[in-house]
Amino acid sequence: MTPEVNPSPIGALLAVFFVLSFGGVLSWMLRLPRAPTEAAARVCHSVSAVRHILVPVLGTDYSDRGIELACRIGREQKAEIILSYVIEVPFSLPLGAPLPVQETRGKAILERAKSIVEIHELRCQTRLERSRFAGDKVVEMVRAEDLQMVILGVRPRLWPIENLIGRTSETLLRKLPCEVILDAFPECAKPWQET
Amino acid sequence: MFRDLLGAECSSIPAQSSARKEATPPVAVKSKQEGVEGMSQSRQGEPHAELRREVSVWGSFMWGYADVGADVYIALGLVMAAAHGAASIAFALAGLVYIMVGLAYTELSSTYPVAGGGHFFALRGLGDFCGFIAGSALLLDYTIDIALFSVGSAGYLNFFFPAIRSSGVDMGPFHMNPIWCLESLILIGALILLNIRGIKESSLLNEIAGVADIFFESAIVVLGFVLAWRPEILLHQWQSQMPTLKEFMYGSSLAIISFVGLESISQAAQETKRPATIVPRTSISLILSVLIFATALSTLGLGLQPPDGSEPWQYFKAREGDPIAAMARIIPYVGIIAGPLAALLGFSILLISANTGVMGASRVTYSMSQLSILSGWFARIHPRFHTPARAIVTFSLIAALQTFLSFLTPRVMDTLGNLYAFGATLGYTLVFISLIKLRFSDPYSPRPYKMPLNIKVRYRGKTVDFPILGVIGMAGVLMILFEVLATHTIGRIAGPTWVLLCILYYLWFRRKSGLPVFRSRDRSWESHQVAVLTSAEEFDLLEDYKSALRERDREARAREKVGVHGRPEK
Repeated sequence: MTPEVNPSPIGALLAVFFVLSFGGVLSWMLRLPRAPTEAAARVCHSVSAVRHILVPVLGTDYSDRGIELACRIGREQKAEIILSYVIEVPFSLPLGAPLPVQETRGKAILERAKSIVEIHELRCQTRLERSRFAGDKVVEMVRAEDLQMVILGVRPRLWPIENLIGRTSETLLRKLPCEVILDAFPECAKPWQET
Repeated sequence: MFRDLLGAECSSIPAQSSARKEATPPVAVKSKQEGVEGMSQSRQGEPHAELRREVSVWGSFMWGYADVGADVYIALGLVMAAAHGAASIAFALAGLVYIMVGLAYTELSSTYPVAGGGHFFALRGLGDFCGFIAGSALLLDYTIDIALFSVGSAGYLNFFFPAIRSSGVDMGPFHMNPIWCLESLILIGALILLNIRGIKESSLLNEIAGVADIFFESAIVVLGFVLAWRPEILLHQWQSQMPTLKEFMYGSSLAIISFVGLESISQAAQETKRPATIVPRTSISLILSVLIFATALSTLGLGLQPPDGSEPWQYFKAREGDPIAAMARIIPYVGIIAGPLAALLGFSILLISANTGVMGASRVTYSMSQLSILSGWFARIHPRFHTPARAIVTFSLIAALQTFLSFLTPRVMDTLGNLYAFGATLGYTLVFISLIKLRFSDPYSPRPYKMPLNIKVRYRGKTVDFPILGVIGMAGVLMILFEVLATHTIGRIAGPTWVLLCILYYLWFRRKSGLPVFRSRDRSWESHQVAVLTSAEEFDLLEDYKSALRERDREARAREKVGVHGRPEK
């Protein structure tokens, strides 16, 4: 005996709901995101793995721009920004000699730099250091704390190309064991264009 | 490779006891020693077997579906019989708990994409002893899986021979159906032989069977709702055929068996391409698909008018052996073809599912022996057929014994279902505890999928995501375990007895092997995780993991320095 046909609108609605829900599940499952290659993954992570960025500060506009750049690079992975101001103590003085003027200036510069980082809501440390050469101190800090990136906002120089960067920048580029970004305004390129 | 990483005992088993033998040629042999120091016990310089990653997203889904999709063919009749008019509510309730179980498995199997499933997670999180208990619960489930699905498969075959279904003989105090029992035992015997010889079941066969099943079940649901479903019958069930609390508890605890099998996806993770990406998708899709099917079929069943004029749940109780075929048969126009077709499909898909039980048992045995929580004796391979014959025979014979004994009880399917739920819920409970523990003990392993609803807590200087849903899920599984112990008259005795016997074996084995009995062996999990992610080609996660470890080491060094400098000078 053939069973009786009992079409019901609720039944049809349930059937439609079933098809849509099951179809939706399957189509979601089959839409896979693209897989990155090993090289691509490494490149992406080389930036996102940067969790501690050191920014040597000088209190200039160039240096402030370096801080801003560091914040933007570190924002996605919530990196910690370490701001350091190094007082270069001349050889004529002992390293621990009192230098109240420089210290006060350094603290003020660090405070200003910190306020830039705070806008980005990133973790921040400030360091007031002393050394004979600022560059060597920065290298020492990076090595001691295993920092992953140093960003330095540099002043444009209108000197010949071999002297394009200063002593500190050169020391950093030569000696640092981590990634270094020297940030310069486009004006830096002018000497090339003019020559 | 993983054998080496985890300190293998058995030296010769190939990791190919899977359904993917054709897709996975015996072994892809690699010699890889990187990052394995501290874990290896096997001979240095020996080439190591590694499962090749060939399973795609659809293959991974079908791997799980071949196991889980078949459950409803069995569970529908059992749950209808127990929960009466509230069968769909029982399915939905068990489904809710299972969603959380599934999410936990999804997180763990995408974080640790290795073969082994639940027992590996328990061992990783809670140590060797708990890993063994979870493994023994899984082995119980796999043997029941073999028994239950062989009986179910024979039951669907008997759709064509109604006389067999109703036959029975009295043997003293017992009443049994000898022909159905014999059919089931023959099927188990055939599975033993096929698996010892090494069946050439390819992923293609699984996929074809799975697609046919999905298409057919969908057709039954759609045509059933459109042509035969009557809301007034469902309402009548809800008004007059509601179960007692005890019956409902029993029904909902049985309903969990319609979702058991997600383990398969976890086990296949080691052979899946990009497991961290694919496994979460296939697991979540599988959970939702099975939930949709189980609730749809039970709602449909409760709204159909049985031909004999009985209540729907009584009709399905009487057809406990072939409920889907019985349902298909009462759909107008197509029923005459759909009934036999459903019976044939039920027969084949349940047989495939029983086969996944045989393979699952040998896989778990292999994994447990790799982890030194089970003797390598079980995992040694047959010299001629190169299959783990001892594990296949041992656990299939246990399944055959369970089948025979269950035929001595009044309702064979109900008895086996009764036992099935115990092993599953015990295993899931340990998995939930491991999930929570691993969030604290291993926060560095990248989790491509994390169970939702977490709160951040500070633990030993780290911020850890505490899984609220994990706790709710654990409570849900414990509730089902309580239901099982309260209402499953056989399961509450046989299940714990099995686990107890396994523990006795474990104590003997560990003592004999000179391994710590209750403590865990030393293992270098970090090297293991790096090797797993490298082999899985999850480079993104690998970089994440390395970076997290570097960060941890950096912080440790910083703390050490503070400690050194903080010491007062003498």
